[in-house]
Amino acid sequence: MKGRKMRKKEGIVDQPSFSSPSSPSSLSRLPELNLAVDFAGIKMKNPVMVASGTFGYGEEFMEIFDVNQLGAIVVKGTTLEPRWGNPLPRIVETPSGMINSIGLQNVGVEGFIREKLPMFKRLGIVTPIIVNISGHSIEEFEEVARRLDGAGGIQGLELNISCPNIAYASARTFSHDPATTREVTARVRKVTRLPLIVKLSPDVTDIVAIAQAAVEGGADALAIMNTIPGMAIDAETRRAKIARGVGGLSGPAIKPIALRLIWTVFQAVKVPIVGMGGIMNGTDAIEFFIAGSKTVAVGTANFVNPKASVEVVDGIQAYLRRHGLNHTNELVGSLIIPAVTPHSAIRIPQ
Amino acid sequence: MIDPKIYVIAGEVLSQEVFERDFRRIVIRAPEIAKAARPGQFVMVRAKEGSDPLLPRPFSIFRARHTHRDAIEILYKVVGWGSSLVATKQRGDRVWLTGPLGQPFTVQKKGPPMWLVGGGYGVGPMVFISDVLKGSKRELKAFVGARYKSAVLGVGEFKRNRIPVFISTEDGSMGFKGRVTEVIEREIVKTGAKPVLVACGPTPMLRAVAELAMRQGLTSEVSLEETMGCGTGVCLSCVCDIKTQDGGSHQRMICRHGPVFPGNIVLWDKLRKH
Repeated sequence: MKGRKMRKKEGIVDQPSFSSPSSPSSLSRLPELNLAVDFAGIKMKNPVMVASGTFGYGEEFMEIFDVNQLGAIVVKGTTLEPRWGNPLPRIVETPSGMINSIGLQNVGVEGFIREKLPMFKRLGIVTPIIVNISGHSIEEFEEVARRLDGAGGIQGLELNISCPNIAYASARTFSHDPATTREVTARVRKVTRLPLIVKLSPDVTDIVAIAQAAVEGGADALAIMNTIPGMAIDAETRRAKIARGVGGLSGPAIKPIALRLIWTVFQAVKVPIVGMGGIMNGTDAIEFFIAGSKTVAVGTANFVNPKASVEVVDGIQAYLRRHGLNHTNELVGSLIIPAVTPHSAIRIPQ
Repeated sequence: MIDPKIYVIAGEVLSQEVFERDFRRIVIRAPEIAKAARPGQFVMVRAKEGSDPLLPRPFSIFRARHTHRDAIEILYKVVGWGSSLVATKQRGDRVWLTGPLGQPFTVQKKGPPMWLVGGGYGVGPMVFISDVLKGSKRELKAFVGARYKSAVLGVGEFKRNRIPVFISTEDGSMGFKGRVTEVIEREIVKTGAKPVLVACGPTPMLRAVAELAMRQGLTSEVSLEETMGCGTGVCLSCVCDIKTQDGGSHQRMICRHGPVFPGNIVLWDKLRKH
């Protein structure tokens, strides 16, 4: 088990390069830093992605801004068969957050290959596409991954292992158990050469065990974290506010939980992490890099402000410049814990 | 890349006032949205920065380019936290808007008579249509339905656009006693007209208008409502079931594929009852 001090540092881009012709420089606008990262083999122009289930397939937001400005798009969770999703209401707002129980409504893997892949080309969406896949059995994950691997036009897969595993009577999810995490990852690994990101659930006893199991199974990267099971109740009617009762909590309220899990896993595994959970702006994103994320994903914020993701990129640029840094890689895992981090280990930022 | 048609901007409040009784009207300067807005569309509104409340709230566009070329108007009632925050905004304050969103009503300067059916503050988009078609050759009539007199809205606005208004209240406290669809049906029989019916208001009223249209062999468009998360079609919270041509059905997002739908393809029984 390698600790933080022994992690190999990524190459730092020494020279800032000038940004694309679409943003002309003027006296009031400094040239942008080159934020390109290689994340588990996916070449991203910046370390900001958008999270599955919060950005559709990119076509919706292309009517608002050029989504190619993003490092990558993780599209809606795809299952073997098309799914209708849950009865309404599917969402409820909670303090600094929301709970959702959408039910993985999606067009299914064949619908995705037939309709969505050509759509990316048609609309000129050329930034990396990562497909989130969900399944209720290992065979389902395997089959979806196999078909997507053969389809072309995809730069990565994200395994949503927070799905209930129907092999268990009690509807435990794959993500609860290191053995099933390892197995589903390994079985998917066998059928695809695409970069494989395993998305972890926070609802576990020992996330390091789950993370290590995913790595042993062949994960190229980890996504931390998925939503947290939660519930909202209407006191007057005694009814749960969403139809299915329990849903996934997301938004600013969960950021502290995400940061802690990322820091914990960062110290224990070598594969890179995409951090997510309540990122609303550039400053939030920076916190995630400091905690150990190589890249970040913006999720719920897309519902609040459709341009949140590109504003996060801008916020990262501004922070780096203000601190005299050239790249987010310089921040990854640089957390100082006052009572813990030995003085000698603190690398003072320039 | 698609031309951007939806804008995310901070609008400036030009005025905030009581419209009629407990309905309020806020006028917001938002040039790109005002220019693009069409009747039936809506905006997602955030009245406050920060994460509480987290989500924006949908508001129908009542009018655009009316009092002010660069402004939209929203007609609303305080029904919860989001709308109560909008009510605190005064002239000079900022509100954050995403819009215009959704599919608008089909509004053409030429065509058969168009009968505008509004219930409660559903009259808003109907007034917007009458603004757009004012002075056109299209024959318009407005049918305003409500439970009782104090819920009747917007009559003055239609009259100012020189449109005949038929008022109905369920308790008879104003106008015809009964449902708005009874008045429409009577008018069809009386005039022999074959109008297009467009409707905005409570779901039972929309259903009644759609069913009346089908019975009479007329075209209808209705504006559906549902709790929304994002308003842009990505959170998948506001689904409804719509008939497909092969006899089956598929799910559509009310925010993106609606809120306006042809009345004859909505699967009314499957809509969530609020």
